Amino acid sequence: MSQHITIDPVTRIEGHAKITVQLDESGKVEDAHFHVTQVRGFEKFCEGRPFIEMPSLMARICGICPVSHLVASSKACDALLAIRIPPTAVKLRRIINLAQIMQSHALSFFYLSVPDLLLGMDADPTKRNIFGVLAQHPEMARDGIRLRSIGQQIIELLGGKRIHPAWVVPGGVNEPLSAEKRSQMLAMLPEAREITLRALTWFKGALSQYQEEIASFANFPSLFMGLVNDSNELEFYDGHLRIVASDGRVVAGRLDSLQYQTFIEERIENWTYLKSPFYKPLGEQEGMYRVGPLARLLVTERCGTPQADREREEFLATYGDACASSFFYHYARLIEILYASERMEMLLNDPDILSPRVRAHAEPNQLEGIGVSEAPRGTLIHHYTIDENGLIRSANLIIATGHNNLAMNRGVRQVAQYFIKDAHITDGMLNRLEAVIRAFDPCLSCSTHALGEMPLLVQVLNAEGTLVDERIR
Amino acid sequence: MNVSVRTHSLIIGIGNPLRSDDGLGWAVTELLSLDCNKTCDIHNVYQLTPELAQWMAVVNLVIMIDANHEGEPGELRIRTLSLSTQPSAVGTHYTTPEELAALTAIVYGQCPPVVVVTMTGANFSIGEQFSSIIARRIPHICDAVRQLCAKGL
Repeated sequence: MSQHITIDPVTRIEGHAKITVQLDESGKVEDAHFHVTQVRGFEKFCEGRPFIEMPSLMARICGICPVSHLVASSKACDALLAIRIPPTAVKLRRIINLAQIMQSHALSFFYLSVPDLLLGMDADPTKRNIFGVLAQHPEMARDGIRLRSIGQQIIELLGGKRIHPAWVVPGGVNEPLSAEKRSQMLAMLPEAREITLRALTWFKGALSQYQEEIASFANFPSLFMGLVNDSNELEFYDGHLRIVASDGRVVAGRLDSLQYQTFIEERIENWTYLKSPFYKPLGEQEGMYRVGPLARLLVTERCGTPQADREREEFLATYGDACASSFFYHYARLIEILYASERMEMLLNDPDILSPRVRAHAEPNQLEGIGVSEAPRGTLIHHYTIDENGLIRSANLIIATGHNNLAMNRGVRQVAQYFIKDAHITDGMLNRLEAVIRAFDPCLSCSTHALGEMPLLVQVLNAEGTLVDERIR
Repeated sequence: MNVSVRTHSLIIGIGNPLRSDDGLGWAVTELLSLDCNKTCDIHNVYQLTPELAQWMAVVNLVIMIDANHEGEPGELRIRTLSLSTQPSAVGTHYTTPEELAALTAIVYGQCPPVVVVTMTGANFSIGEQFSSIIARRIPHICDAVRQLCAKGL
């Protein structure tokens, strides 16, 4: 008798989803799926709107990473204007994008994942949350709160507010940076580095406790994709796409991101609203790829800042052979926060950063525009077409979580097969199923959804659909 | 936002100004920010998040202003929190005033008195206009908050 296990909703991720596990007649895991159960419709309802509104509209996709959508959307609009924006505007956009990386990664690591890492995968689920962490490890909670706050304050100093700032606009940014705000930002960055290094030291020491998770959390060969600059260094704003295999082989060294449709195909499934992109030349099976912090560390040859480079080298020297495990997304996230603090400092000390020339003005000069950048969770693509009046005719978005969809599904199946040996389900097993998804930090767009407490419902159904077991926490 | 002097009150306006009466917290703080005799730091948020704890820990009084669904439209309620409340199992999407106060006390070792001032809204649909009753009653909330600030609670 085959059975189904349903986890609905998956908790501590950004958005709403569920996991189903299909057991065979002997109680072994046959298959598993990660279902995204919400539909947003942004690609559709922006049709007919003036293109100039797109950055503000698209930022509303998410309350956690609005800056990422703001940047990619503005880049697509720059392309519609067919202009080159002032160099200082590029640097300022880079800073706000890196601040977004810092605050989002801090949220993912300290708020969403540290409860698993610090309290244990088998800890009481009512205590395995940020408040459980602060009760036992207040210094870690304090660090997480402070680090995220620094990222948010930099966004607020630049953009005027922390959520949905309207400062990044087609043609550049709408206000130059003041010397006072620059000083305020520079003053916070050393503390951000100290906190990150402290977290890295702790995390590296704790990794030995998670050998099973390292072995089973989406640990399989796949491709990895991310932006790199001309020196194959870490890049979040521009550059070209690079694809490597988990054995380090370079599959595509220099892909023009504006030609993404020639090498990325998006498949649609009838059991999820999330599209499933893959690398078209290798087909769906061989072309499955991952994006995001771990992918970015693997596609680059170096980060390009001293401390982040040291940490990346140590990571690869220690775990290079096992780096295909998605458990290491956590590790990569910390290295990227370190990079963000170093790079922001470099940019803020740039002699031109206070230049008043931060925006170019033009009418639309092209009917198609594509903007690509790196969001906290991976490569983000915005692609618009407009009519002669500048009204949106079509929009196609590929968000980072979509890129990772095939890998997340395979990861869920791998964890289920590793930990579920019969129909008996423990909280620890359930949490690992959620935790493998959490490692990718999927953003299913939380901006319009605030459910409060999210119960976890697990149902075991037999082949006839009759409920044979149920657990709620 | 950078609260650093432990002589201030912190006023937090909570809500979504694109949801009609839900934006009353922001409207009240904007009016209070025009007061000449400023003894308060002001911050507006869509929802309470753990980051607010660091600012709450360094002031003498926290006043949260929010719209309420319960009660008669225009009804003003003032509630001082009990700081003995323990944080419960919540995620990042929703934090109550009680949980935030408890978090502040645990993480930073201290939390000032927290007063929650609410007014029952009449219309929470999409829009930037207040219902007529809330538009009339907003000065009353401002006065109530000024009194709380003046007497330190």
